[in-house]
Amino acid sequence: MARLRLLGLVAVFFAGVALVAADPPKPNVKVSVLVIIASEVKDEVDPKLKCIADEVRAADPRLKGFRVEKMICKSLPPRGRETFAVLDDQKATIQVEGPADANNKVTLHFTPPQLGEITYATCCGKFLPVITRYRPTPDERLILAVRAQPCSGK
Amino acid sequence: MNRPWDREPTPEQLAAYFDGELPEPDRVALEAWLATHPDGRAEVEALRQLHAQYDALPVPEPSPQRWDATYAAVEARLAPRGRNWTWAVLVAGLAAAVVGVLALPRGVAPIDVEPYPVVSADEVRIISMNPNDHRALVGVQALELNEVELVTHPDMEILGGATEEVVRIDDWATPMLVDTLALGGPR
Repeated sequence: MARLRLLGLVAVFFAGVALVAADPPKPNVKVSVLVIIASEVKDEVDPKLKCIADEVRAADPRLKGFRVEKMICKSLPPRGRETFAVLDDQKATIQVEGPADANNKVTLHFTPPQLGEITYATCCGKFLPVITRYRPTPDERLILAVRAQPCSGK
Repeated sequence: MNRPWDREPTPEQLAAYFDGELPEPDRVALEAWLATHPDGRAEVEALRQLHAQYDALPVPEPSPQRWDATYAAVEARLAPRGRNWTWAVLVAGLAAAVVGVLALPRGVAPIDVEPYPVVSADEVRIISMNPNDHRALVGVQALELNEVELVTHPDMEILGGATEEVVRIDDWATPMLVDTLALGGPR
């Protein structure tokens, strides 16, 4: 009986050591997908999209107006993969490699509608705009901007 | 049966009788009293004559000049109200215009709106993508076909067997095509 009790104590000891030595669980990454409709006809720009609009217009001057359709936020665990219903029947998928590293970079696998997968490492807290091939109307273009949070040390 | 009028009527009661405002029992009783009191009948007759003379008095018609003067006085008093109304309309219109401008949903950026931040080219590193999608990326350096280069032999080593295409590349920051044929691997 005493021998069994000793074995139990040893098991509890090693289990505690294992818990202490184990890496703390990696935090989830909050991924935000900003769904933007860019217009080739209307020239009104949502004030919140000023920076994105400037960059997109530099890449495609035909796009003049920008408005926010919606923003979708999901919390993904490391290696977690999620599908985002962005507009109409169009979907995007995002997989995160893990939380922000020491350089404050997050690696994402992003598959926008009608485009191939883009794997990239980006600083967290800022949006990467992607011009998709999907047109809600003949004069409009679907743009997705992806952001990962939180940043390390914040 | 009516109660008889047993006292001398006051001037107000006589005036009410003359104007037909007494209740029916009082009117009958007072008429019975007047039939036996000549002084009372004389007062009623005096009232009748006074009314007749009043009705006979001529009513002077205002002259056209008096009408013009009256209208002018009325307009002079109404004119300031008109000016106040005009000012009220102008102020209300100006206030509505200011509110409308402030309530515009788009066009003028309010000061407290902070635009969404965008990554700069040096904050993003594209690891892999379809080169045909290079126009989709905004503000960052996309992978283009002219960036694809052949890796040289010292940069890599074959890890797999004859039927595998697993390679390890020491520096793969730049995308590379692996020519396994040149390395003696499987075709």
